[in-house]
Amino acid sequence: MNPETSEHSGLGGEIVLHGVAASPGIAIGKVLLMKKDGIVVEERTVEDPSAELDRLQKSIDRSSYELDKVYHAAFEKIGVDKAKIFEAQLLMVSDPIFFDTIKGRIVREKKNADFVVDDEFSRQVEQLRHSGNEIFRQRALEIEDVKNRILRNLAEAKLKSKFEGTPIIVTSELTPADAVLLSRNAVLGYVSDYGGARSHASILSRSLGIPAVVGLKEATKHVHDGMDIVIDGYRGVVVIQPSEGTIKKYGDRKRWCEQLDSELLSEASEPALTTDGRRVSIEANIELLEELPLLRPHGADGIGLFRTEPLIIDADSIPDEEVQYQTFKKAVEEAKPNAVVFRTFDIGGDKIFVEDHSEQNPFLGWRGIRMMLDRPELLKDQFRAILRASVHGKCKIMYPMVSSVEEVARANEILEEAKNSLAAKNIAFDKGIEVGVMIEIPSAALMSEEIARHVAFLSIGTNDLTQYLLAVDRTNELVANVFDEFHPAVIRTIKLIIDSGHSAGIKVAMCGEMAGNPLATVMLLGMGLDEFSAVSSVLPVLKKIIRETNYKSARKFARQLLKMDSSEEIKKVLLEYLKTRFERIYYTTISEESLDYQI
Amino acid sequence: MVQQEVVVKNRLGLHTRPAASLVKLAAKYKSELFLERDGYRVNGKSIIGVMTLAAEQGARILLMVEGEDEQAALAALVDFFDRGFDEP
Repeated sequence: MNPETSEHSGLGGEIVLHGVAASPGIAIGKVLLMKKDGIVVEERTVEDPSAELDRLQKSIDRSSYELDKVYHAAFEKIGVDKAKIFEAQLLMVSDPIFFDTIKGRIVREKKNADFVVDDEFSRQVEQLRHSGNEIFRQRALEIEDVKNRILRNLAEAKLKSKFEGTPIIVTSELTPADAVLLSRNAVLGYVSDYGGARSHASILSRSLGIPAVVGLKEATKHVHDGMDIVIDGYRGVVVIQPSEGTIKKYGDRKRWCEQLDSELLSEASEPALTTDGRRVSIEANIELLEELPLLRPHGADGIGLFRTEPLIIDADSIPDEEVQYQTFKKAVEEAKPNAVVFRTFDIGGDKIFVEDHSEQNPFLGWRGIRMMLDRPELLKDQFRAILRASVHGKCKIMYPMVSSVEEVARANEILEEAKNSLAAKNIAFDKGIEVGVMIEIPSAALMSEEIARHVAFLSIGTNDLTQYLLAVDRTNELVANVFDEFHPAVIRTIKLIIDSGHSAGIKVAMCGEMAGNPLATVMLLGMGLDEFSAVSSVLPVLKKIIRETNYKSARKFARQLLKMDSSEEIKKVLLEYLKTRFERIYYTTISEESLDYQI
Repeated sequence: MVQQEVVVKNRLGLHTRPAASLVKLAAKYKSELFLERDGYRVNGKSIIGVMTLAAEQGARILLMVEGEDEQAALAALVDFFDRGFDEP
């Protein structure tokens, strides 16, 4: 759980690293290290420039061939829009003007190809870095990617995209291109120095069912090819050079974790009904269309949060109504007969910016519904896309980062305009489409009863709510330890929001991290939460807990917890409860204790 | 040689994808194409060159075309800029 600790147990050089649990599962295997950096370019004078020109041409051909493969794989797997990034890279490796300059210099200066390639590319990259525009500074990375590919092929260090056996990949960071290529090979697991649970490669790992631990900071420094490694994607633990005893322990753990998983999956389609008959809804948070095939096997009662921002990241610009509609339609058809909650673009904060724009305090700045209300045409396009998708299955709309009743009213007005513009063209949509608000700002929490009167549901976003309530920037490492979603103030605010929604006669959902934390399930159930929305892999666990819980006792339990004045006390009670009542779930997902536990 | 000043209209500017489309468009013509911004000049048939212009929304670019089909090429390029590279 603590991403920064590493310890040497002293047992034959066994190294234990803790990172972010990005994709559940346990893998035991051999390391395949994928190095990206460390290409050292020497400047040499050559006798025969034509040999250098040959080497360069071979490298260009090889790079084009690789990119063409990546492009086609991406085209099939992730669609034409995302594939376009690789198409541009293909154009770059075959840029005739640019490479003519390089070839000219090789001949004139009699320098080795590597040096001239590195030098010419670096000039271009510098040129872009000096531009004051963030978008263009980012483009410098794409050019650098192409440079590294050509240099790597010059050094004939081919990308190990084909390999023997079934290794565990260790790398500094998986790029989307790597993830696509690796997904076509037999890989037991992924380990990376950087990245979070929501980075593209992590999502891809989850949808491919490959265990992954990311954000380990320096895993690549501790390994070399062929080393033994164990990864525990449930708890975010990696053991390098494990002792025989450790391998055996993890082998046993793998067996019983997989047994528990298959048991949970086999009953995942059962409803989340408490022993005394309270039915709650367990839904999935969805980021990419690749995750949709997991909805059914994980027993999702619909999509409680469909994030629309990834569309912008993929397209590199705000996609038009038609592109959005096509994407939304796929999600709606897959979720049928259940509903999909589409959250309007939540841009800003730690998320992406579409415009060149920087702020002193982005978390307190122009983001979420604030930005969209200033760009009503974008919002209207998105509304129309969702409305059009609503004829294919049940859709709901949700506004992020709302801080006042007025914002809700204004967004609702724009929604009416969108409806009218469709009606004027005789385009069909669900006239009774439900609208909800994410409650993640303290002012909205305090006003939740008034907000609730304007909408059909509320959904609690615990990450931002915690951050704003406790005044902690969770991306600031100096205070990250103060970020605590079990702080009594957070728990009491959640209760306030649920009660406000209920007194206005509407349902209250939660789509933040906490909704997917098995530690919090019984407490949230007891506080009256109606809908839990979380990453789909955890849904069978939540359902299991709810089905074996009595709602009346959960209410009593929640009342006790709400009286406590420290998060330490709350967490201690919750841990004790989960350990006693749901021992196997506790040992799979939560416990940092000894692995000697056996079923 | 023919030349004309154009303005980048789309929100994200002349980023990777429009740069790719521009280069592909320029390749259809035999004429040479240069783009100049604030005295910095690049070859319009080089995607890497075009990207280094870092031309954001509102940037003014001078298009210079020279060759047998220069009129047709300039017209097509001006139109491509006017359409905001078919982006919002």
